[in-house]
Amino acid sequence: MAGATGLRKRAANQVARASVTEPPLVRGILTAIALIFLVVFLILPITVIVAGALAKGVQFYFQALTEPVALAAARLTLLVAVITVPLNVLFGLAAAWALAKFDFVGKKFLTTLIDLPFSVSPVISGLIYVLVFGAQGVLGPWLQAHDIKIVFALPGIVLATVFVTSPFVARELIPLMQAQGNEEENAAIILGASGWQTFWRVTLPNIKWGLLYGVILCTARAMGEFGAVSVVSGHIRGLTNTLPLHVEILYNEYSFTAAFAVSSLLMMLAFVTLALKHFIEWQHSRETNLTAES
Amino acid sequence: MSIQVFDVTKKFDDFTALQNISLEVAEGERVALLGPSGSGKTTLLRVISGLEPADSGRVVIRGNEMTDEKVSDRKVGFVFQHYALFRHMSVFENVAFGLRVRSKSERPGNADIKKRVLELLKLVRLDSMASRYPSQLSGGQRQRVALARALAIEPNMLLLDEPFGALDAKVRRELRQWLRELHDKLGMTSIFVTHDQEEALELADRVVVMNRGRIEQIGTPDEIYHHPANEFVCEFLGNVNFFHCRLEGEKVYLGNTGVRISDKFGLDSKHNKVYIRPHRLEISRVPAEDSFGATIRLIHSAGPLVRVEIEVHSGERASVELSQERFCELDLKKGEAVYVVAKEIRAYPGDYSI
Repeated sequence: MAGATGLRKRAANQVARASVTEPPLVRGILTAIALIFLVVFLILPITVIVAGALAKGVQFYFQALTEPVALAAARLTLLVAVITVPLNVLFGLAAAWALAKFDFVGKKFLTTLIDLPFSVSPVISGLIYVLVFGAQGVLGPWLQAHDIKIVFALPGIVLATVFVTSPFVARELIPLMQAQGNEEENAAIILGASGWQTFWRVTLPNIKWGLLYGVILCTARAMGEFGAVSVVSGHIRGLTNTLPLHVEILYNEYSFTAAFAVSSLLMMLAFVTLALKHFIEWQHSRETNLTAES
Repeated sequence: MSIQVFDVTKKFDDFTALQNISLEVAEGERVALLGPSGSGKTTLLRVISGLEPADSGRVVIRGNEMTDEKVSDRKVGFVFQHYALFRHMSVFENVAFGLRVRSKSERPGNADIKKRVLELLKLVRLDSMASRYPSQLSGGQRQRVALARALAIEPNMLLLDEPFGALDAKVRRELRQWLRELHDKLGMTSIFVTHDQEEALELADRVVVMNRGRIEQIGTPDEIYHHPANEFVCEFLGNVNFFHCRLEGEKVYLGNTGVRISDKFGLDSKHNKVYIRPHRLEISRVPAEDSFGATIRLIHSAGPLVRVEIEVHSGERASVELSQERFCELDLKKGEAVYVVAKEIRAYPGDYSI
């Protein structure tokens, strides 16, 4: 049986190979275009960053990363991500739950609204908060009177980041939960499970890969966000500068090597994200195969 | 009484799914809710289970008022149409779920859970599949897991929504027989929803025929089949010939032309529609009293009964069922002229007039 399938596969491969009859020249040109594109837009910049970062030696590289201002920026970036991601997980779950499991007036409107942060320029997203909470803003005087700092401080940065990254988790979960419907939840409730038990034991396991995927995208964006944060941060060194803002400042000060060194951190973050994304996809497909095969 | 439903009404926006439904189901009884899609049968099942709140009316289970009780307190076993198995759990965990989610004081120990689940899996003949996942099972096996899962909580009753809806014909028949045996063994009150009259008549002690949110008739399969209360039931049970008729003096005429049929069925001027089951029409070569002429249009002879499509001289078509023996005896051919006698006629006052 296995032999027969193997043979059939080989035959299919041969057919597939025979149907690729483009002349070598065309194949060569197509491959070359793809390669050139990759080199120019991906490999070259990465090499430049790495080379630039190490231009003054490994010692300088680590110095650039460990100077107090850089460390403060890294800390702030992590802090913002740590606050933002759980908030957006909560929001994403709530929004997806509401949209997938219930019917209500304004459902379509809410679905569109969730995409808003994607369609608005990040700069505008930041500006909104300055206009609302800033000194000249609507709530500015009241906030000042009560000594609450939002703009040009951590709360503002978090708010802007939350806004910009809010669609990631929700967008991953909505189609998933809509496709799954709520029959399994009904079954759980009828078997005596409480709302929490149903969520933890039935809903969450069914959406865990989608949720993780959304969390990773959300984290990556939260750490890399520049535009919105740039508007609300106020660029106070060591206080309200995140890593992307720090890179910009270093660059503007012509400290190219340091700028590249910090950039390499963000670049590594991108690689980690990609690796995690692949790992999750692989794990997910492995699990589905495991449950689908006898 | 195991389940009592009093005057339940349920509306979805302006669609009335259930209208003043009352129903009583005795302990250990097996009841079928039969009706076309949109007749409200599934809604009634969900109202009894508590998944759907009724707009008005009451649900009483074993003498306890359940109208406002939570779903989880009703202790009903529910088998969903598409099974709704937990896809990320093994067969074992699916069945164990109802026991695992109990509060600490009521939850059996792990050993007891294991024993109970394996017992149930043996009952549904899936003990060798405990570690499989739902996606690794066939439709019939999934259905049995769903049943075992529903039984695990020792429910007051079993509610099954189109239990055989998603299965192919052969598995359906096997499972139907198996389910009846299982039910006889457990003696549990159960209500199942179906749109398949054959299934309802074969499996149920009593059949509730529903249409447009109302109950058309409640009765044993025999009553429903042999004495349908109205046109809808008569037509829905299928396999019936429908004719318009008119009364002239003492005589009944079929259709538009003067095909006279027997007047011994007590028809009067209120009746202008008649229903005749195919096996209650008899074909013969020679005219007899009250017979009418017809032409044979089609013959389906594959099967236990031969089905003959005839065209009555009034222009209406009808089908007749006869045994293979009788068919051979008559040696019928397509296009031949024959005589037909109606042995039984069912008539209802209608709104059609000629």
